[in-house]
Amino acid sequence: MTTARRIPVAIVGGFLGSGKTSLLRRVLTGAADTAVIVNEFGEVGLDHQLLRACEERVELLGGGCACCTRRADLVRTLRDLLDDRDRGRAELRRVVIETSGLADPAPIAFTITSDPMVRHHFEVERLIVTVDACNGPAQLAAHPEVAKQALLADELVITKVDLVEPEARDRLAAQLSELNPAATIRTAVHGVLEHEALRASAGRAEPGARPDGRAPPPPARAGAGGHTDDVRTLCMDLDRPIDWLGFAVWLSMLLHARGEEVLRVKGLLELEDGTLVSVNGVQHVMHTPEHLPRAAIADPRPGIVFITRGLDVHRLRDSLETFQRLARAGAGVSGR
Amino acid sequence: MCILCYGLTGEEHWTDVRVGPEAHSRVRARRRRLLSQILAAYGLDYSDDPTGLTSLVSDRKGNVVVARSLGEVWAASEELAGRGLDPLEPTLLGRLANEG
Repeated sequence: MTTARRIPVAIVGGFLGSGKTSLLRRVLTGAADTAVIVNEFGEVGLDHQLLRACEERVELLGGGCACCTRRADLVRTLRDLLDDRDRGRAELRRVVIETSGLADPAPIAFTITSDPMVRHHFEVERLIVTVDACNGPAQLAAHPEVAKQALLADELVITKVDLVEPEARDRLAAQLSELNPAATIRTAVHGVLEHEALRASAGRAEPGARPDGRAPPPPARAGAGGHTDDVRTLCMDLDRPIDWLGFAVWLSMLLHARGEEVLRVKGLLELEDGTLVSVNGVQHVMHTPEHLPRAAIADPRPGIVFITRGLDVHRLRDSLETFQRLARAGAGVSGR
Repeated sequence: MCILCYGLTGEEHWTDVRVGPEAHSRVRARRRRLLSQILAAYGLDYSDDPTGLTSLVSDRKGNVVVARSLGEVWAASEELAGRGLDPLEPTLLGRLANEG
C-alpha cells in the first residue's frame, strides 16, 4: 500500500447541459483548497480562486490504443498547481477536472497514473458523470460518447430530477444500473446532491451507502440496447477468499491482452486472512489497490464487476478460477 | 536505479503494491513459480533476481529479454513467443488446469 498521501483528483464528465457546472458550483462553495481544471474559462460560470483552463492536447502513446493517450496539457497544469502550493501561493487538497461534454475520460486517468512525476503526487479518486433526467435516455441512445462516460463512471448523478416524474427517474436509474452496475447512482436538484444513493454500486460497497438500495447482481447479463449491444457486463460474486497473487497476475495478463475490450473493472476482494481489498480500473489503467477497513463498508460482500465490449464474459470466470487454483497449489512454495 | 547492476528500475506496476500479510520473499517465490508455469505454455522460461527488481524471459534459442515490471514481462513474452498471450485461450487454460 502507498504510504504518502496523494492529492485526490475527481473527474467530472457528462453531456453538455447535463448539470456538471451546477454540481461543481455547489461542491466548491467554501472549498478554497480545491483546484478546478476546465477546458476553457469562458465556458463555465465558475468564479473560483483555483480555476485553471487547459486546452485538450493529446499525445498518443504505446500501440495506438485510444485510452493510452497522454494529456500533455493536463500534466503541465497539474505541475503548475503543485508549484503554486510549494511556493506557498495556494493550498491544494483536492483537484476536480471537468471534462468537455463528449470527452473520453480514460486518457485523463491514464495521464495521471502514467506520468512519472504526476503519479507520485496525484491519484484519481473517482469519475463522476452527470446524466440529465429529461434528456439522458435520448442522449444515451444517440451518443456513444455519453454511453461510454456512463460505463466508466464510479458515480452517476441524475440531475434535474425535479423536472420529471419519479417513475421516469427510476426508469433512468434502472437503465444506468443495467449499463454500469459498478457505479453508485445519486440524484441532484440544482446541483445539490441527495445524501443517500439511489442505488449503491454492485462492484464495491460504498462507505455509508444504503444497503437496501442495492440491486442484487445477476451472474451475467448484457448491457443496454442500441449502440451498446456489444457491451456485456459480468457481476461475479466471489464466494471464497481470493489468492491475491493469482488474481493480480491473471488480471494484469488479461488487461495486457484484452485491455481495449475490458472497459471497466471494479470490485471488492476478500483475501484468505479476511483483509478486504478494493480494485478499480479503466481499460489498461488500474488504480492502486486499497485495503479497506471492514467497519467502514455498509455491505462488505466480495464481488467484481467487468464491463466489456465484444468479449465473451463467461470465459472470464473459468479463466480466473484456473489461475486461482494454480496459485493456491503453489502456496506451499517457500521464499528464498 | 538498482545499486547492484546500475540498471534503471521500471515504473511501479499496480501489482507491485503490497497487499495482504504475506512476506515479500514468499510472494516473489510464488510469483516466480506461477509465471514460470504460465510462460512454459508458450515455450518460454522465466527467472528473476532475489530483489525482484529485474525479470528475465528467455526462449529455447537463447534469446533473452529483460523486464522490470509485470507489464513488461507480458510484452517481453509476446516478443519472444511471436504471438499474443491470452489468459482466455482454452489451450492455455487446459494446460494450466493440469498443473494446478
